[in-house]
Amino acid sequence: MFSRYDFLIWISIAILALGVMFFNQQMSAYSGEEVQVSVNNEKYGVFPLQEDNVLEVEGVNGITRVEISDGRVRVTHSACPDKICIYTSWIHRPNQTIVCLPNRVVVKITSESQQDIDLYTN
Amino acid sequence: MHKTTKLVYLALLVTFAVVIHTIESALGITLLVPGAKLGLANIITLLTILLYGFKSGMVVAVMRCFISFLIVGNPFTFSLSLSGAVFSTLIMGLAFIFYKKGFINVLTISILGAAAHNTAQVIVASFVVQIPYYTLLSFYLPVLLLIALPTGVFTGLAAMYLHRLVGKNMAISRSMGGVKKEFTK
Amino acid sequence: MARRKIFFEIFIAIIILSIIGVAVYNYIDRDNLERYSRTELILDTIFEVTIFVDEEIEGDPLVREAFDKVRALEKVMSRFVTNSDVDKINQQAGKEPVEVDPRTFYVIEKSLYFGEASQGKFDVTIAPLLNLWGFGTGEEREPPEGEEIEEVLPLVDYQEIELDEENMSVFLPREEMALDLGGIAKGYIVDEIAEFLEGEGVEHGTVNAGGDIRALGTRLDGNPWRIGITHPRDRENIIAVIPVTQEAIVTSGDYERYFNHEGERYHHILDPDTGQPAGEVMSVTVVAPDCITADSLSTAVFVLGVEEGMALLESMSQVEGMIVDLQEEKHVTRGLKDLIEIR
Repeated sequence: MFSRYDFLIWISIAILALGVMFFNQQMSAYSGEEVQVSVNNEKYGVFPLQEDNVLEVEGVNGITRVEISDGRVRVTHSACPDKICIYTSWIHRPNQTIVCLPNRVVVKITSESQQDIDLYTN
Repeated sequence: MHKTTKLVYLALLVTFAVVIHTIESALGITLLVPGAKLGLANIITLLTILLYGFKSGMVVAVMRCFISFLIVGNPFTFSLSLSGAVFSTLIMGLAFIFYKKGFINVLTISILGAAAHNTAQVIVASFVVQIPYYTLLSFYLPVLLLIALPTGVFTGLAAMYLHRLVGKNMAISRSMGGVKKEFTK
Repeated sequence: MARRKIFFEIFIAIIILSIIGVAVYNYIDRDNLERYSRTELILDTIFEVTIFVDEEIEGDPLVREAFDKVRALEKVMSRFVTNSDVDKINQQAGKEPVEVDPRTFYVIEKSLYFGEASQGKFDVTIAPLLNLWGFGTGEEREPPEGEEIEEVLPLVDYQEIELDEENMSVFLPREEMALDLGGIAKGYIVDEIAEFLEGEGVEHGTVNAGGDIRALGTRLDGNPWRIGITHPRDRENIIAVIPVTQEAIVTSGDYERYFNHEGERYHHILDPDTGQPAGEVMSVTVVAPDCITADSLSTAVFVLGVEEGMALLESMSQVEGMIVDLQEEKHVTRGLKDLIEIR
């Protein structure tokens, strides 16, 4: 009843499906999510979200230290009086931002793909 | 006479398909992800292909979609079911050639049909509701392909038993004359 | 028989071709719209304009023009810009009425309306109190003494603002009084920009001033824009998602500007009657047809608290909202219950 062709077709459909799933899971780790940093409305740099990194961003008042770790971003040190950027703590979703108004530093996670959430209100 | 008998049987098959199709969409059974269905109407399409060959299968599949459209009247569902039906019948027709040569069995035809059905539906749905293509490729398609395995086996088994049942019924097979060769294997 | 066969084949071919035709048409139609986005630090916040336009509209110059308008409006309405209307009104407080831009006049008129609607809980003359508290410094510091607050409180009363429609002038009768349009001007500017873009033919887009959002139309895929409401205590995550189409949405939270003192959190949304931070809720989200309404109501409802706040939201037509109280319980207006996705 079952020939090897049957077997082959069944297995190849399963492998194809699982393979695409696995491939995409791997890809989603590098799905082009980036950390965009700007100072005083000028682009400062773009960094991959999946690569751990510590950035020393030169703002208008001094250094803002941005930490990228485990696909998340936060500001750990900032030359500003209010420290709102530090209190914002971690962000990890595309379209989320950390803003340091006094030091004029904006950290934003961007992604090419359509996200579940378009904008955040706080 | 043979032509008329075949016409009557095809009409009957279309009726069965419409009823099954309507009941299934009324039940609204979805498996895991939107778009994944049991595809019970595929049983009739496959049965028709087994009995009368690819072209009759296509007629039954397309007629089923049109009549269901007249009943339900939703153009979106219609475009989905029509694309799924046409594409899966094409693939099953192709697989039927290999079946006749004894390479594969009915269940495999059915699985290929289910996979084709799901693929076509996802692609058409993505055009209509405009899901980005990467969401489609990365998420929906592999899931739907996987789901095609069990649903394909299910519809394939149903079609196989039905085929045995009505195949033994001489009233259908004997009266087919020229078509008979296709399934005397 | 042969004729029937040809007929059948043509029939199938037409079906397949029409499926392909519809698909290709949809594909091309979707690709026609180009995304333009720009972000700037302005208005004491992060201002972002995103639009989707076809090739008939030049997106880049349009977005830049929108930002020029934001800057122009900031020059008129910020109290921290020297010689802005608000600055002039504050300088001339107790001295003489100041002739202002009709747009400033409109915003002040509106603020009085929302003051009435919220039984005085939304008050644009709150500037002296804000100065006393000095928010935004983040570090441990002491809250002002009760006596100091008592001294300043009588200066906070929006009903004393004198508006003269004929001369387009505004007058604060006492010298120490001061105006702060922070709770309403941002919403007004977002509205102005959104309406400007609409007038230029933009059908899909968003204007976002640090969480004061107004959506133009829908997403490109025809679905509503999905707005995430930041969790008031776990800011990395969201507490709810609200889908909006052609509406404004604003959230006021106690976590935006605050300081801690002896384990106590002092945030920037003050009750004009007590002079203390409003203490009943963590965050308020308001959905309204325009941003000026959503902006001022979110502040007003925050101060009013759960019971009176919900009553105010329910009483206004086309206005919906959610209040998160101190127990993190979510109070949602009737019209929003079926739409909101609580996370």
